[in-house]
Amino acid sequence: MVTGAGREAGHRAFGRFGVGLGAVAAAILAAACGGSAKAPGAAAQAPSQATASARCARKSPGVGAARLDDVREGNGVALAKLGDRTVAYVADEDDNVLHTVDVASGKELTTTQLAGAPGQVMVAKDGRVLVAIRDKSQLQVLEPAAAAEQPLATLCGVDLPSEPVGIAATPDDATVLVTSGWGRALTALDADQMKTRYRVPLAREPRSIVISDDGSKAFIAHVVGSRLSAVDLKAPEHPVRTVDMTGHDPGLVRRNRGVVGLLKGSTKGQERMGCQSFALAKSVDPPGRIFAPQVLVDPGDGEQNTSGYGDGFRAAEVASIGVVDEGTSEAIDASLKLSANEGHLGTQQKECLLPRAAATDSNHRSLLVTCLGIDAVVEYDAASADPRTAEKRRWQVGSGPTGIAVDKAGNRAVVWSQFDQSLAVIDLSDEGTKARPAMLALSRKAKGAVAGDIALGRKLFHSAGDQRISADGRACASCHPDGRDDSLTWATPDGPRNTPMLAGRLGHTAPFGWNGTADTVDGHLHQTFQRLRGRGLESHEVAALEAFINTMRTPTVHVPTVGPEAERVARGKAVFESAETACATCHTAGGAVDGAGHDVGSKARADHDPKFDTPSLRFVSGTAPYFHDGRYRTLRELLVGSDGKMGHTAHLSPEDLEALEAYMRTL
Amino acid sequence: MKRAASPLAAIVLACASATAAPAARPALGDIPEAAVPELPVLDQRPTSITAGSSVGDLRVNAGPNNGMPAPAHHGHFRGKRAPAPAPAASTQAEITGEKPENVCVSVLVNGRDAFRSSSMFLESYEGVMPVRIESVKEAGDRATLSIVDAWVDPATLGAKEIRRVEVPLRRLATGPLGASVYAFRSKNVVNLVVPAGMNGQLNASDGRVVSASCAVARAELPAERGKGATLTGFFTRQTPAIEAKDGLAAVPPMTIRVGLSASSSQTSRDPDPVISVVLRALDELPPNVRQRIPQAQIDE
Repeated sequence: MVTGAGREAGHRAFGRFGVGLGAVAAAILAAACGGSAKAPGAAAQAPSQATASARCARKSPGVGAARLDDVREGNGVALAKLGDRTVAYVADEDDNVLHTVDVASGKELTTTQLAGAPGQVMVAKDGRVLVAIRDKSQLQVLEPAAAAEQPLATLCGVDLPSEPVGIAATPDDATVLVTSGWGRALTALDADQMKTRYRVPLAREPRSIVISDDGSKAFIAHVVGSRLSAVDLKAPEHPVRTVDMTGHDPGLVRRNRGVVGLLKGSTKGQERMGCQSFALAKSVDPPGRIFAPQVLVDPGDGEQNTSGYGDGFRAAEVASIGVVDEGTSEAIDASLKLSANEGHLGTQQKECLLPRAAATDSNHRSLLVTCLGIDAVVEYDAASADPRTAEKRRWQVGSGPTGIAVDKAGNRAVVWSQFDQSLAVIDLSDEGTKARPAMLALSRKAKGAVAGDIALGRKLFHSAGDQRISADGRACASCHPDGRDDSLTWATPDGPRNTPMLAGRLGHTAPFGWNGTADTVDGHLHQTFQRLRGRGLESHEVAALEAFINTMRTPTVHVPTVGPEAERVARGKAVFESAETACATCHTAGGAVDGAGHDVGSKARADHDPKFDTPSLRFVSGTAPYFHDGRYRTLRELLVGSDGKMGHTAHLSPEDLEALEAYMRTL
Repeated sequence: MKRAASPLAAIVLACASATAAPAARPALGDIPEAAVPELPVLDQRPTSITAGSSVGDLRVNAGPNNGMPAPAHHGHFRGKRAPAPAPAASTQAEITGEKPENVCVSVLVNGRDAFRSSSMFLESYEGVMPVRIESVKEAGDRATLSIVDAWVDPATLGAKEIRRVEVPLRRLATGPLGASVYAFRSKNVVNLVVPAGMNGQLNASDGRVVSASCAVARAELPAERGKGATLTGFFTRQTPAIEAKDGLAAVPPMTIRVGLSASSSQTSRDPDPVISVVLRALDELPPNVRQRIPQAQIDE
């Protein structure tokens, strides 16, 4: 498995802190994980000074709401205290606003316009409110007013690599860390002035951050790649260690190849790749445990032709909560190992296949996870070696729960459901076990970004456990988290198929499917539902789904306009369009497509048709691995390895190859 | 322009399906240390036991298949071949407790106790066999696992006591319909003791499967730093019988499944292994039954 090999290679190379390879090693690691050494938007590895400086500091120290319970991790909701009042700051990515809500009364106090679509929000020690603005590549720093009813004032915006999402503060509150999802980077900012201290390249799709109690490590979730990153915050070079989150399934019996495969199969069972790791949470009781809600995926044996996506022998996707020992940066085995008798309990409850936010409740020694698709908050025992099996309670909330915060003193959890733009307040007390959460609908802009068909399409895209879409509960978002790809190669009836990115890639790219077998998106969706053994959707629902896919938020691609990098990109463009390389023959201007199938000598054992539809190159740098069977882990491997079958690139000088890659990163 | 909030509409969307009561917080040090003795090996067995001799708590009666011919493979599954040739007809003994629903009987198979059941059958061609009968006496947070080991002669239906052991237990968790999980420990192995029903199964993370099909299910939960061990599965509990009242018909006891998730784990910051036990109902009670059982009894 190509992705697994890449991951393992990365793990072998950088398995321990103190290797001393530093940022260079981390950059190579990022490359090994399916990206290039330079992350988009993080091109200048030397930290650029923020537009911040002194204007990021508080203008009126001590005024307004203060941080609640010393929470130092960002989320979709953050709580603050103003006198006896608990207020919730809610990051609304549809309306690009921050709602301020009085939790006790459920009254929305005000909204604050943001610079763009927010990721996580966090309250700093001094009461400033930090919001990651995904589409503007900024951290927006806000100051609360004396009265919670007044909107927050913007102090500054700090420039960051593309798509900042996750935020956390170190235990001494001196440093703020921000992950950039598309930019594949962790940026450390001085918490007072918000000046960049250092930047660390990361593997694909980083999201939430938690920091160890001693402040020595930052743990970072990755949506794809079966890993967490553990960044050493103390060492000068900030080396990155990969925490392997691959699961093992003793119930999966598949032909193992060779002695190593047999031994592996006999001891641990078949591997399952970790995916959907958006959220992280840190336990207080017992201390020192990092929780990583995810799913464990078996995409099937790509060398076999199957009847659907995966081989259907066991559930393709199983909910999982990895537990990582903060001290050793290793996962507890039991948390990643399925039972051979998985599913024997036969409960009717739907699994949490799209976990999105998490928080711990030390009053009840619990982990709370919000689940898209089933619109639920599930409470697990935080002391369990495998919390997934130790569910204690669950509550239904509004559609699309993407944020959660726990008010320890108030014994309640506040949950933000983006799709419904509603807030749920859950009574966590024992008496509240049977109670319905109090639901508050927050204000919406009259011309909200998501309305009508698109809203329906978004719900359908994330609908898990919906028999119309799949027989085993998978949602569209299971393989296309955030509308992107899972970096996996699935066994299908046609042969191995690498999941393509959808967001921003559907328009003008017909026909669809790796073999171009569907002329329309509608036709391809129909085929997809069949392969997932779903009953299918009504025509208006398919139209809504298509409308949503066509309007998904795309990453912000950093295109340098001046300096050496801009020159490199210009040179790469010329190489791309040259007759010699012939890239632009099929990938027409700007990485578009020629709409035709080509035999590029890539037919794998299980492939029936040697001709593959020219894929779009939009956002290609963030979609590794490459080719229909994921055989190339990096752009460089692809450019060199496919020479002669798909243009000519192997002969290029290192400088030209670098320039070509630089250009492709701007597509 | 902002649309007015409509909390009422949103409330309609909400519903709760919370299940069990929060788990207890067992600590390893609170669990009493104890040991369960091994069953005696067959080499030590007497050749016969006098008819009429008995052991309290153990009931030995003639089995339903008395007089049936012995099978050709007789003796194979009890660890030791019986003297050949096989007898033309076998005497069968049924071993159980005073109340079969409260005990678990096991016999020695290939040197280990297995085939746990509320009653057990022995054939005379197998000779005298060691038998263990277990029961749990519950008393609040504490309980006792009573173990009686005895030799049983299926030919004479006689029984001779080998030993009696009382193992102190600590309750780790409670669940629906009075379900409880107790434990004792031996070194770093936590031995879970579950007063179970007549149908169930527990799966250990090392692949072992433990039957929970009699009144006492027992399973080991080793605690090893870094790795963790889990035990998941289910056992059954019965609802109380509901008498006819106010024109409503009587409802006989119903069986529901109780899910068990137990684990031990120890990270670098845990001085001792951390034990987790969570119980929750896997089956919903029908509304007409749920309404007629006090909520506290369901949540217990």
